[in-house]
Amino acid sequence: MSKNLNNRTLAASQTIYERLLRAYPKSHREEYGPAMAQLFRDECRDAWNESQNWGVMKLWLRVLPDLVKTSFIERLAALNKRKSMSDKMTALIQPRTIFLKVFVAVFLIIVCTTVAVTFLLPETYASTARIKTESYDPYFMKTTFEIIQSQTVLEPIIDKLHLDTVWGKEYNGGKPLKTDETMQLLKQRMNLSPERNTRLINITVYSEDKNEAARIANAIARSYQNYRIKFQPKQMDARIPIFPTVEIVDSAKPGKLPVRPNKTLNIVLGTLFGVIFVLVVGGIAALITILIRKRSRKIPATA
Amino acid sequence: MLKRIETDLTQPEVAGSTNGQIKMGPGTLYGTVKRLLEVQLIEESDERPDPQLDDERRRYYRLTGVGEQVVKAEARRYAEIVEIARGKKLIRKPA
Repeated sequence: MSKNLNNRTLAASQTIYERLLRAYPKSHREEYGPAMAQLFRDECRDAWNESQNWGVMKLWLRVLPDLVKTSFIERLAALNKRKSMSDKMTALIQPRTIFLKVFVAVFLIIVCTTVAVTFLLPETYASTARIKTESYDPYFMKTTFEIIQSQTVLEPIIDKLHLDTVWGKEYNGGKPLKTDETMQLLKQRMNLSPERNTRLINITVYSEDKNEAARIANAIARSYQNYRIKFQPKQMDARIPIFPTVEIVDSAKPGKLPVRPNKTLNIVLGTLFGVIFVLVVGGIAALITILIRKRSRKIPATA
Repeated sequence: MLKRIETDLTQPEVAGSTNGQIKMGPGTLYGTVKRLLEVQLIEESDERPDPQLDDERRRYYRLTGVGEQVVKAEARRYAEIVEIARGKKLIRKPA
């Protein structure tokens, strides 16, 4: 039984090592492969006799880094032996070397992932309603922004458009959302920005449904307008009509094209990132290669 | 003109002559052999030892004349370094 185990362990180790010898260039393998395999067999046998499985494991821990390092050195040496420039160029242009193949593969993976993610991301539309306020004072504008995002303004919209139920169907497995949750979601989907040097405020709403985005943006504008009418100072003279202090300048319309994801930008950025990544990693690999090559030149002198 | 200095680069020999401090893997060993052959410091030898001690799968190498000069020069260099180290009392003479 023990002998069988012994044979099995040694045979498996030897088979694996012989397969791993393929990491070396063909010429090196043909010249020294059998001798290396023989030496490994001898070492394997000695390791087993010394401390059985643990011995074989220790041998592998020593042999594997040696194999990785020396196969890399031999591959580089084989590449440098290509004498003519055309041979070198061919080796570079046709991705024959492992490294070039890896770099090309990594680059393609990055680009393909970017394209896939870009096309898989849900499309988001934006709609903007514009309102005019009575002042462009920064404090007034800041206060207005806070009021627009307040419960007083937003809650009537949630009720009117039944956003609890609508978004509950989409994001909560059909169960209506709590008003707080809907409010939070609504705040995340809206963006308020002042129009520079004017009294205008843009109320932009993002949604995967272009009609919903427009509906909500318009509802926010109207709700804020109602708020201002409701809370404006008391009418002093009944003969003077009340004019709303907030004017809806532009109603929001459903967007024709999605604003997110920006497919062209994403793909360009993904490609750029891929190029930069491959160049940086390639640079580091080249540096390591030079260091190893320098070291490999010293080997005969120190052996 | 070749000096017939037989050399044993097998793993037990290397490990034994360095008190087990250096254990060369097959990749390093045969990579070194290849480079030594390329720069003609060693060459493959047809001479084989006593058949009782021999293993027909073994390959034998010997130092070339240049190889011997290089190894002696290297040994002298090491000896000089050792002398300098002793002069500076970094190491003691072996008892």
